[in-house]
Amino acid sequence: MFRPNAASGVPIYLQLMEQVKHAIETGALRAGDQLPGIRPLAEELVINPNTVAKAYRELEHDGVIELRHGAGAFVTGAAREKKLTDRLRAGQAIVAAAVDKLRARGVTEAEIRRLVEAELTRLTVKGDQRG
Amino acid sequence: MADGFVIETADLRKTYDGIDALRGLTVSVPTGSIYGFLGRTGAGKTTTIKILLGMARPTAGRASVFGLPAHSPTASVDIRRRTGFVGDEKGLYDAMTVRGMIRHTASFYPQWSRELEEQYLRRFDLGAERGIKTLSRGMRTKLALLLALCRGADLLVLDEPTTGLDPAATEDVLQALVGHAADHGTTVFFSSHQLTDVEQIADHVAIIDRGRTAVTGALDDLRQNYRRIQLVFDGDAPAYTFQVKGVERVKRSGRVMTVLSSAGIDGVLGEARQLNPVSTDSAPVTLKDIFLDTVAVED
Amino acid sequence: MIWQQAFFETRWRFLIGLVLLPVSAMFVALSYAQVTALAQSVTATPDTALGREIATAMEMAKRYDSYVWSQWFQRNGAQLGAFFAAIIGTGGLLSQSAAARLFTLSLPVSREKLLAARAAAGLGQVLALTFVPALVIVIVSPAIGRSFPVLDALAYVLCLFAGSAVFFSLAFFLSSVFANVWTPVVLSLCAGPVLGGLDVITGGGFSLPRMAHGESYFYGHGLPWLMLLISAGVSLTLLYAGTRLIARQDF
Repeated sequence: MFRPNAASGVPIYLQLMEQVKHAIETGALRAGDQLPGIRPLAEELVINPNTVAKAYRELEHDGVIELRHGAGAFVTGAAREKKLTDRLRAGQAIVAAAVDKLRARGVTEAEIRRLVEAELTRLTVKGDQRG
Repeated sequence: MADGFVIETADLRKTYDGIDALRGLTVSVPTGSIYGFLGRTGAGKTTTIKILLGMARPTAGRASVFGLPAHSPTASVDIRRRTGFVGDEKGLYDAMTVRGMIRHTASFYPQWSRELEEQYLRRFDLGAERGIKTLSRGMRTKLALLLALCRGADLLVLDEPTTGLDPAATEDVLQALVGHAADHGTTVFFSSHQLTDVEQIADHVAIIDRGRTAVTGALDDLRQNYRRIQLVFDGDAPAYTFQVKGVERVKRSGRVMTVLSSAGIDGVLGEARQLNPVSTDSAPVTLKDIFLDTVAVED
Repeated sequence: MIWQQAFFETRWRFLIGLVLLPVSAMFVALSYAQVTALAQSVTATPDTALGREIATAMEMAKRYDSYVWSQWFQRNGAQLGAFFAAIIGTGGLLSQSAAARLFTLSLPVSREKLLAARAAAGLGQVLALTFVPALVIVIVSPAIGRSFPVLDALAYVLCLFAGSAVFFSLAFFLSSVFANVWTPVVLSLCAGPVLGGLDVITGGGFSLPRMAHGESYFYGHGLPWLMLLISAGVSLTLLYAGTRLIARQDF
């Protein structure tokens, strides 16, 4: 379900967090579902167990999952899930509109992807500086 | 263990027959980390490992493992008792069988786990009665890894564990390392010139260059703090020396100036404003970029 | 297990010796009848070196115990013993492949212990190679209606072992200097003639070969205690020096 890319410049724990959130947003993971344990996930993805632990800790901090001692990690409340999905649907509409506009101006697909990534990078960087 | 570090070196130097193999190596390996020790061939990786395990003595500087001085022959025996080692040539005794090699090695470690031994024998599909001479490089690596993992070590030291292995064997080795570290909290210190391996499983790295530490830190911090900033000017990019901290490298090519920063972008952008660039752009940097920028540059 | 490994390394050399030496010793003992028969048909002319040697051999062959001593403890046994001691003493850490050496060095054992185990295992093998053939002689002698005193055999074994140990220790030391296998063997074996030459210069007062052969015991002068002590000292010094060299080395 998760597949972080080690070679991208983005920290693996951030990628893993995004992928868990994405899985919840798409409905692949639902409230109460159990996430894989740290050890099996680290071994399956062949990534550092500390990285998995860090991602889970951050996700718990964000309220996305709940770490029950000894039992594992579980996806939290359904309301948030719904809200996220709605938010995502709204976002998708905005992106679709923007992409249509850009294409109308002759911006290629690759260029659009690059623009979005550069913008996200800028945000990430700003976020880092604050944090 | 002082300050939660399993391995600590400070300004470590080693001269072999007049050749400087190490010229001031400083690393601290946190307990429980998987530490990637990156460098080109001949950068001093093997020399460092030899010093840590008491196979060679430092010319100057300090190296300690578990808080014990690595240069002391008696302390070194204690260090080795708690350490699993996989050498870069996967050297084992050719005249022995797999089983013989395992029994021989097991006899040195009171905490040897027969259960893990059986488990890894099956998992790695190592025929116990096969002669070591007949094993492929991948199989030898797996046997060497088995020998290192079953002894109940607190620290694993691996010299280029995946060099010369095919992708499947590489994945097997890395997976076993990750799984073992997760189960037992073992600290893993492995040298490599394979960036992909380090990026995949390490949480801390040191990049060493010609016997010196070039970059060290938590991999996530490096990924978050290293940025490549591109400044485009109207005319030729000016020759300018940045005062702000964290500027690792500046390259100029025509109208473009590229700055590698190890401390985010704000400082560099703030200072760059006075140069009046027509546009600025920044992008995250992969470990490969950091490696190439800090190590491979000829000077 | 370091003992086992040390034994393992030289096991083939040892086992070959363990077959070759006792068989050779048995052959010496069992051929006494033929030799006495031969002695009666030969008249040696003591004008030439060869003639003198033959005459000596004939003289020695008159009694069984002197025959065995001259043929085995003074000749075959001594030569084979020195040879096998030198090849068993050769090898160790430096002769391993670079990779196997690092594995050995990564084990939780001090280098001193590693080398001490090798020295002890090797000396044990050398002792067996001097003792077993002597035992064989004692055992097979009754088969041809003769006997060889156990006490005499033990005295000669002690002397022979002390002599062989010097060769072993020399090869052991040289193996800490040279990484290849042949140099230590060749140099150690060259030590034989050199010691012979030294023998001539010193007038035989401190002769390692004579001590090793148990000559003084044979001629009724008892065991050569001083020389035994000196050779033991030489062996220990060589072993210690070899161990120090390895212990100080960077790999």
